[in-house]
Amino acid sequence: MKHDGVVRTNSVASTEGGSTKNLGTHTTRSKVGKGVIKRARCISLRLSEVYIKEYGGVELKGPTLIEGLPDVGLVGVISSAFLVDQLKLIPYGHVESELLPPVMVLHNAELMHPLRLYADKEGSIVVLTSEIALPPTMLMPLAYAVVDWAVRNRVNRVISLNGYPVPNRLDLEKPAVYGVGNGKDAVEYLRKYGVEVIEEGFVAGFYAMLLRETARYRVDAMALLGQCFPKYPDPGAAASVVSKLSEMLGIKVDVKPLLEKADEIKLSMKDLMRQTEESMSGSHKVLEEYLPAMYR
Amino acid sequence: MSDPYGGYIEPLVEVRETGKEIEIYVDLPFVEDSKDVRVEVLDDELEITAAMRRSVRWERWGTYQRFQAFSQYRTRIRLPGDVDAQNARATFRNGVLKVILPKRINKVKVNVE
Repeated sequence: MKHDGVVRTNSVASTEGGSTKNLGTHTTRSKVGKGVIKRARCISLRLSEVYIKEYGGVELKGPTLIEGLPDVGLVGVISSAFLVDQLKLIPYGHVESELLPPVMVLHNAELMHPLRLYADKEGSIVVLTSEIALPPTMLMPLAYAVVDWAVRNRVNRVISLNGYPVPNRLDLEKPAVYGVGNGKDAVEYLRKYGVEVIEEGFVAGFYAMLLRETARYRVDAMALLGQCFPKYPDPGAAASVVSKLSEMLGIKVDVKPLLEKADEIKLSMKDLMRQTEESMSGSHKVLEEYLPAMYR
Repeated sequence: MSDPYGGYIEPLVEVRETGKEIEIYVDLPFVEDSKDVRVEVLDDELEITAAMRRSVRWERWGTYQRFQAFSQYRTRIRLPGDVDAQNARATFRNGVLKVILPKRINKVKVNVE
């Protein structure tokens, strides 16, 4: 046992049909400081653990989980940061893991974890965002932990916000938004809102793992992918994605500030883009450019 | 505090290769006009400098300094092969510079027996 009061055993626990089932030793739920650490599902073979620490203060009511982690064009990060600001979301929790680099962030002299969760006061939206690129080794354990958390908190739907790199992005005035669903219902939901669904291809990265894991636990999940520059932060693509998301969720979000502040956003996210590029080179992201071998 | 970067910042660059050309894309936020961009081919490198429409100042704790102010971009990109610099062309649109450099290809036919 470590000194912070959190029991860390390499137990195997899985969540099935909304309830937690222990397959190994035991799951723990320990109070540490103000928050409560809920044990994420751990796979003993991986010896890697990811915890989601919740601060309390918001009662979740079958929320939509919006994931916006660093990936191509930083579409997810730009979109999620913008949503946090525009919807005036409040800090809900953060992710802790030894797999994360030893980094904390300072904002207005406040020390913060780089991988954070925000929620609205009504408990209907939770946003997962990050200020650092995630190491490829963390993507799978994080997906397990997020889905485990989503199942425990009866998340209604998971929506990943991401980019779809296109070589002719420079010629596109308004980037289109494509969708990927983790099942029939999710695909139907995307089509209902006029999102063109990708039917053939590879998806890679965190959102791919999230789609896979949510499907395992029958949680509807989808990804909204805005046409974007592959290697530059793309606020234009983020604007398209956020517009579509707001239509789907029936919330009002004015994306004009995203476009007006595009230069500022691009410049301030330059370093994160470089980190993300390096990180993506180890996560098989390049597969998204290839055709799958299976014929139909 | 002093600025070790001399007011320059390195832009994000993407290099793509097609059969006959090398395409280089450079993201230049805060650059307004093509007249503010300079592109030069130097042997096996491409040098790009561009002036921003206003100086950008950041406050953050880094290894060297607390404040950074930039008013120009500058970068040198190593070219992946020989190019025909005389026939290079460039456009600047929506804050992105696109440089197309035709490859210099020496094609020699080899007899197959």
